[in-house]
Amino acid sequence: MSGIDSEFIRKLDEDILEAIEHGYERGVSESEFNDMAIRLFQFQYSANKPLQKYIQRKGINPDNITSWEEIPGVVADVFKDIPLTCFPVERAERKFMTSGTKNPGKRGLHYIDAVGMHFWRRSVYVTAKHYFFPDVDKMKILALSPPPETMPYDMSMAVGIGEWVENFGTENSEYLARVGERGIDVNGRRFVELLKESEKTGEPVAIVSSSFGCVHFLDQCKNIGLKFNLPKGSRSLDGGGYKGKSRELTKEELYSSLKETTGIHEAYCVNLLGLTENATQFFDNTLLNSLEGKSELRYKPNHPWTRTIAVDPETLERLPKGKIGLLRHYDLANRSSVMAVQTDDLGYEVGSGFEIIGRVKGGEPRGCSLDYNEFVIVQK
Amino acid sequence: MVSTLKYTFDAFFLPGISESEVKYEEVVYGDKEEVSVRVPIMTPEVLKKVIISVKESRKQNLSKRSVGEIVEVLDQVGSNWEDRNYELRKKALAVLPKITRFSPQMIEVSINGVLEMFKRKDNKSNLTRMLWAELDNDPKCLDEFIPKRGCDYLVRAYGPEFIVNIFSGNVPALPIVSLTRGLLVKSAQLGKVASEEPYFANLFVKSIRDVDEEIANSIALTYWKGGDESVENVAFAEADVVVAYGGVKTIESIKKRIPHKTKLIPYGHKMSFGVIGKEYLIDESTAREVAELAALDTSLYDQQGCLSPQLWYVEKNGNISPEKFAEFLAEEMEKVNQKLPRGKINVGKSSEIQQLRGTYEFKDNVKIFCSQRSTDWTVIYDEKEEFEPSCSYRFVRVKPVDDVSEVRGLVMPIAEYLQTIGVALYEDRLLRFSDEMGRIGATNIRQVGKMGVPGVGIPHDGSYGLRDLITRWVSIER
Repeated sequence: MSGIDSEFIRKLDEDILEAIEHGYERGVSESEFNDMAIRLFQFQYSANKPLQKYIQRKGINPDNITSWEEIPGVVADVFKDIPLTCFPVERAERKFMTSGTKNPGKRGLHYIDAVGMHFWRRSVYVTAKHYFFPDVDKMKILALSPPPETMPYDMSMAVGIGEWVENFGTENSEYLARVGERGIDVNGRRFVELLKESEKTGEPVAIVSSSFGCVHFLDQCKNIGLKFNLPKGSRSLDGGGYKGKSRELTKEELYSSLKETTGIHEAYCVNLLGLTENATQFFDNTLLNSLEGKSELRYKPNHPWTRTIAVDPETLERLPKGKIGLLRHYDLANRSSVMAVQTDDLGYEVGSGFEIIGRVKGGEPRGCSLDYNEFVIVQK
Repeated sequence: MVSTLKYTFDAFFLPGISESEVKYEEVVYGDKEEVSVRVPIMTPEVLKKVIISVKESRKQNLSKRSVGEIVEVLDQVGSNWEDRNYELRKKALAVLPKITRFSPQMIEVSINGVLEMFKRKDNKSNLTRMLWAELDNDPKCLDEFIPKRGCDYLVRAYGPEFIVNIFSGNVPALPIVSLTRGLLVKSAQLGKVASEEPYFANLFVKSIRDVDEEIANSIALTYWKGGDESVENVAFAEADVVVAYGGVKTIESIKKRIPHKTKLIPYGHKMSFGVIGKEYLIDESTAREVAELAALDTSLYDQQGCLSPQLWYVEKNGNISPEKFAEFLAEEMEKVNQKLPRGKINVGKSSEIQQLRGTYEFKDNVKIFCSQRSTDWTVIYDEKEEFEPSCSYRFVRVKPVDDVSEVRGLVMPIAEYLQTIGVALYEDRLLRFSDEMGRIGATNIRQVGKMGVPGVGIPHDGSYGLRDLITRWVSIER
């Protein structure tokens, strides 16, 4: 591998950051994306020794790659075995851990250095701004998660929520959960109070929770006959899937029931897919589309610096649009580890992005959803 | 959803019950949902009636037959199945691949395998051999008092009145073995079929009916959801013996719920593996031959059987290295896959295999051999010695050991689950190794290439399956 010097890296970082910062407005062409992806792959190949061995084993020469699609996906399970870094591990700023729902003894670890965290933070900021807070500078965020610094370990979603609260949350935003002895306890009483307050004052809120936390909340409200009519502009973000921790609802069911219980319009109910192994999170297009008056199916659009494809589970080859397979993410913001991650999430390509269906059966449930052991509405 | 069902088959056999007495549900199988199977929605009331019926039938018929007559009937059943034009055989070959996802070739091999039990060799029925081996006496002891071999008394064996079989669905032939044992000890039987494969047992019982309806009527087959206590409690309360196949959880749950007087014969989760000694790695052609046999063992039942090898321990210091052996094994896995294709697997399993392969691609001291553009088979050569169970579906590890004597320590963590060990070892080492394995828990040591085809009359999970059914041995001394 030749030509990977500090100038190569400086220019590459600059280009990717430019795509993250300004990609939505000015657009990133397919050939620009391709060029950056190949350069990033070449950099990671040169700097990430385990990746290098893997690529050599596959008989691939990074100099001969002409399309990002030729870059093989690293299976997510590798994160459970070894550090995959483009830097000495001891220089990691963050060590994000997967939830290890099925096998707590074997969690995946994503080490990210200071440079990588800069990409990570910018990506978290820009994507949330674009898809969840496009119409507001700041608003009241009700996060059904503990403050990130109280988590016993680095969890990317908790840290991400922390970033949102810091950047988009007004002073009166609140974390409504804390780390308890048996998991994470949500202060349901306070949550209800705040929702009532929002109804009264007319100040819209952004509720951020895990998908199963959301279902628990709805069930609890139903049980005690609670309903809200939150002010216009209120919104909900749910992420992480169900992990077998609540009954599973289709998105349609979840959002129509959310609307019924909180008054938040379906389009303002946004599902989030975040992977510990990635830097970039994926949002439903609904809130943005609704603001732009665009009618489109609900799905997760690619960002200017990402591509998500579905591959055939047997051949690992890319499937045509609409065909269900295993999702593979190409994420240029995953600058300091590996840019292509092969997940065992089921999904399909649609529009200019993709949709996730869920975790494959036979695999272990996972995701970056907060590790709520239970969602308790504490009725003290 | 628009129904495109082409065929519906009945996966039950309920003598003494009319169609209209039971409600049914359909279970759909196949990628295009082209096959559906009708199973009864069993209620405690109907099940009670079924049990009365099979018990009555046993009393009137089966219990009055001599074991010789029963063997003759089963021999005839077996020879009917041998006929390629036999209607039920054709049905099995057409339908089972859709239900089980085994390839048609694999289904045929497993049917032929189970039919071995009913074959005659040197003019003697394998069933009779099996009975001799199990009872260690002339099988006539099931009919009358006869002299006990080598002793000075008369003996007679009494089978249980009623057996409940809880089947598992991983290997299609298993129910046949159980039902046959039950018939030979003249018991009325109830079989609970598995949702993964509810059908073959039913065909088998119908094939008995083709030969002898009276005998067939002592067997009932039905389905209920495993753990459905209202139904299971009725079955267990009536049972003298419960024979249960299944995982640790299933067996534990049954153990808790059967009455004190009822005997449980559990065939729980088991693990098998293989060992190749350096004496079979003396040259390439010998090593290739052994690899061919090992590939067959690994591929049979798509590695889902309790007797399927999870991995192969291969001795170093032969002329052919363990790594080379892994390569030969891989070549043979491909050949077997041509002849005996692996069945279709669900996307979860494909993904699991892809994730596993993908993690191995990051490991040192490993070599990966695998089918191209599919997950059909995978051979991992891994220098890490420790025992690792496979994810099945033809994913197998080859691990080097200095000497087979090391294997004992390596498999110790799974000793309680050990069952079959496929071996390629010379006689003197074979006996020593078998002794070591027998001491810690293995129950069947079998030559490589035959792991999947247990011989006639051998012990089953460390005991004799038919003998265990016997309720009482009674002696007369004069």
